[in-house]
Amino acid sequence: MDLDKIRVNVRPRTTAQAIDLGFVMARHWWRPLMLSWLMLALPMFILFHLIFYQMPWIAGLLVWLCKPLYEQAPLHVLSRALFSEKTSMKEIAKNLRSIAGKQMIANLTWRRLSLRRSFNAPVSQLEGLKGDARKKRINVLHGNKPSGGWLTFICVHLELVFYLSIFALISLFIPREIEVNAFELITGETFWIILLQDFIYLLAIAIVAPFYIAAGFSLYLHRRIELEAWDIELDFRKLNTRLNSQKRSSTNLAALFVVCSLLTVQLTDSTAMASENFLTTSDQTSPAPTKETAQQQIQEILKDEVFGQEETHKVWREIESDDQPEDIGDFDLDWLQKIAEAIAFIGEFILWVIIGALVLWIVYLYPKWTQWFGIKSITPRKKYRAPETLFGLDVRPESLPDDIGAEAWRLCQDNQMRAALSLLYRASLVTLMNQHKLEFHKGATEGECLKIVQQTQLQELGNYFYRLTVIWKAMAYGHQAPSLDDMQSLCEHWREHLGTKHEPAC
Amino acid sequence: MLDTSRTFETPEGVDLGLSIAGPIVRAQAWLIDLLIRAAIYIGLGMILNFLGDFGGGIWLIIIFLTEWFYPVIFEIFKNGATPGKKRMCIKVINDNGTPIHWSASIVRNLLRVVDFMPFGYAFGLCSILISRDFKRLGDLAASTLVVYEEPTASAPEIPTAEPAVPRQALTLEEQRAILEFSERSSRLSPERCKELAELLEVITAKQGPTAVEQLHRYANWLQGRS
Repeated sequence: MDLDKIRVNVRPRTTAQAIDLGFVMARHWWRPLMLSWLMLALPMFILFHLIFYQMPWIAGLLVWLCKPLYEQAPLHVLSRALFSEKTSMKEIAKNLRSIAGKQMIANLTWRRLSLRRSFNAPVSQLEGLKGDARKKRINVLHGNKPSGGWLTFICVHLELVFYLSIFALISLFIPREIEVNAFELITGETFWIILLQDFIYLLAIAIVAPFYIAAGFSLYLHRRIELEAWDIELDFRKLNTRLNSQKRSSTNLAALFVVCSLLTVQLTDSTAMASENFLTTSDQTSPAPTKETAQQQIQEILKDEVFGQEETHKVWREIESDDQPEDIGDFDLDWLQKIAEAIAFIGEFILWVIIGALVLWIVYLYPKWTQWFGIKSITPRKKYRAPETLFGLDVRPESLPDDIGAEAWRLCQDNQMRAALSLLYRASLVTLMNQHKLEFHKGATEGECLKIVQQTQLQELGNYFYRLTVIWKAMAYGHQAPSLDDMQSLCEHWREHLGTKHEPAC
Repeated sequence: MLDTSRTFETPEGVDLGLSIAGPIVRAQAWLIDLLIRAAIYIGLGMILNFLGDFGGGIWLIIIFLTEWFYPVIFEIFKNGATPGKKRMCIKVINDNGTPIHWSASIVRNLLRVVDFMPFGYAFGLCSILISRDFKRLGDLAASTLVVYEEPTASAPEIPTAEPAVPRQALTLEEQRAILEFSERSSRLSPERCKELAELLEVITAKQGPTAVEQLHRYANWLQGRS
């Protein structure tokens, strides 16, 4: 047993977590565990059924009874794998008798029904303890909170679940055309059906076995880690190595040699106790008192007031009565019946109302659900509201004069080019939004507005708006006044493209 | 190294270690919940029996709702734990370490039907035994985990001794190991304590019971006693 080579994370755990670790171990070493389990289980299964082919139920019983035998080899494999030692199946096969034969009679008789079987197995098998020594050791390991009972209880039920599940699975896959009553598979009593049942039982226990063995072993480990502080030992050793290597690097070569040789001597000394074999019973406390002194101590303790109290228990006992049972027929329970009926009637009514409300609710929620499930939304899109300003221009219809073209031209002649262009552009936007129902969002730029207009099918309008935008941008941002000709054409054509339908809102 | 714990790193860079719960403890929790539900059904059945067919109807509705939503309700409103899970100190969380929410809880509990097939949660069991994080099919679908809810342990007392400064600088882990030794020494046999303490002769430069005593003195210093 070399703690440095241990393959699990050594730390204090709860009992339940120790069982979980066992399951992880079983999953990790599933193959060797399974193989070593089958190595004995399968031949014995066949043997029993060959011998007792006339009374197959005895064979099944024996398969169940011998379960502890099959579990010894996997435990052996697991205890070695835990410390990074590989065990070949050949080795196991060679030593099968000595591994599985240990304390066979005890395992198959009075210990067979013990709920803590898998916890106790390492004590007898790996530590090789027998009789009283074993009992003492187990008591020490269990301490005041014995564990392992629940593990066995649940695992037995898992076996049952798998057993019945395999039957259920088979019956699910029997085609309806074949006239086989699946129920007969479980209840039938002919040899072949019992053989099938036993084989399925073997499968079921084979699934659970590696996990059960490993979980029991892990519980045992957990207690040893707790009692012997393996995790602390590992940490201390690591610390030791680190400090020693530090020393090594800071001293010269000669000193290094001395330290190293000293260190190896010291290390081997200190690990000798722990590494002999699994049996390191260092957790037995002060020497046991002799029988007489123990008796005396017990008597002294029992004298305490806490013990020896008198308690009064009250229990009900039947006494024979010679009274005739009172006539209770006088009570008229009809009214109670009527109340119950009334409650029932009202309740039924309320239930129908609830169902109606549920239906309404579902209808109401239907659009939302379609959205949740990714079906294309059928709710109308959010209503578009025309913005009131675009790039600082007031684009409410109310803000416009009646005749845009004429007004703009008048401004041109007044040499107010900027005002004229602004009016034209503004009016265009208003018209596009209100009459052509184009949607400009609030922060749109001139370029984006233009794009939207050009996407419509109106070719000429698009061209006109393009010219207008270019000139407007040159004026607004570049301060380049357009020629009068351009302005005239813009003003004259405004009505043609945009003004025809224009009716001011106010 | 085989272990049952997983570490999650939070956005703040804190590592959260969680121990994942295996099939046995989950089966125990399930059993407790089953008994609770059965008790409810039997109790209600006796009361509702007075109301005739209507009572029977209500009873069936209650069974239907309880069977489907009992775990969901508790997982959402009781911090991921049904009474059975609470008793066994386990709870359900998302597999990124966050608390479970409606959708995940509903998915993992609706899929109990699949896990149950063909009988007694056999498929779920197979999935738990095979998958790395003990996940049944419902857990895989909803990306949830069942983990232990470890109670915050109060630091155990360490034997008082006159504090002493270790002769070498120790890393955090090593300091922890020495503290741990001191905390657990009362539960170890004296022989084992001595054996462990002698491993650290490099720092203590002592043998036998005095080495143990020396480690207790370090532990006292590490704990901040003066």
